[in-house]
Amino acid sequence: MATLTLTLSPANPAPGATVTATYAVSGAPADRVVTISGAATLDGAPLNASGTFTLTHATLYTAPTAAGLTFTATADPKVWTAVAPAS
Amino acid sequence: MVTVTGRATVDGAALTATATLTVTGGRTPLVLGMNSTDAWATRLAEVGPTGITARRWYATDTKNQRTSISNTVADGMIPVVSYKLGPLTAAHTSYITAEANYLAGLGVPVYAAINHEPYQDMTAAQYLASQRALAPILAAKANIRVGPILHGWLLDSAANRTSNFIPWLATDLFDDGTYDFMGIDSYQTGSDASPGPVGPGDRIAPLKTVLAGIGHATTPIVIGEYNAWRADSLATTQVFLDDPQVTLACLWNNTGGVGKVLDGDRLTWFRTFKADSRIQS
Repeated sequence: MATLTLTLSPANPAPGATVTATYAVSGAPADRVVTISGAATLDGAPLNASGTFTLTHATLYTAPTAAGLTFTATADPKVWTAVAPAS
Repeated sequence: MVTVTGRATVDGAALTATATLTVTGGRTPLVLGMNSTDAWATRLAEVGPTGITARRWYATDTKNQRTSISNTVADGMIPVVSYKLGPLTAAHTSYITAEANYLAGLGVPVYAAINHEPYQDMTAAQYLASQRALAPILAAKANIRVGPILHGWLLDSAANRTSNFIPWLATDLFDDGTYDFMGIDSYQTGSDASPGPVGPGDRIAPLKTVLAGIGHATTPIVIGEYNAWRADSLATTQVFLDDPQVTLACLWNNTGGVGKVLDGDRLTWFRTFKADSRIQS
């Protein structure tokens, strides 16, 4: 069972400071490599071939939400930033 | 304490996480001021009086602005006064001594500067001489906060920062506590017909770098004048609120030179900005 964590840095910002929120997923099954094998006969001769692909996790992160903060996406989909409001 | 909630989907499964945030050290309210040289009542009515608690004045050695400054105090506002005197002369010491006594007699906080925007008015050496002779006279009065006010646009390029901004800083006056703040006047580059890319709020970051470089990273910042040709550039001044190091900012609400009276979407933006709870009321 996968779990999601959210880390805020800094956790005690001054008003106006940039807060960075970073997602992390743990407990998800490892990516799987799948091998597909095939065979054919050409002019009576048996031929074999195989190829692989990797099954990765489809993860979609959404903007964190909080009263008084508006998070903006960064180039890293796991990372979002906001400006700390007045206390 | 603020709770932040995050959500993600992993292989179609919805996941939620929370974390908490504590904002510390709430800022001292930003003092917001304005100047209008010949239509103050009209401009104040346009922007709305709530949140305008300072008024910028420009004095010379032949026009001390005492009546205007006293009227500002009578209106419950903080005077922000610059004495544009030029290169130091013997007469300046007695003149500023008299003005310091007058300002002290007002009994309210006053911001004051000597020779704002000096670049191209005099040499750096002449400017520093005037600062070292006259700023301490003002600083000796408990209610007067003193600092330099330089051209913000000189921060826009590394060459100007190095040659025409940093050499004009009297670091000894920061070191010995004569200066209470570091000031700049900051306007959007370009013109109304051809607005430039640098907004008035864009100089805070390079100014802070300069202050850190002279060992005074936390010196309060004052914006003696600011304005912008366009609303999106005026919006760069959001940093004045978001950065608690900025303690006072005065809108130059005049048309002429690098200024333009607020109207349209610029006026709308400013009125919204001014309504923020972090503005001194």
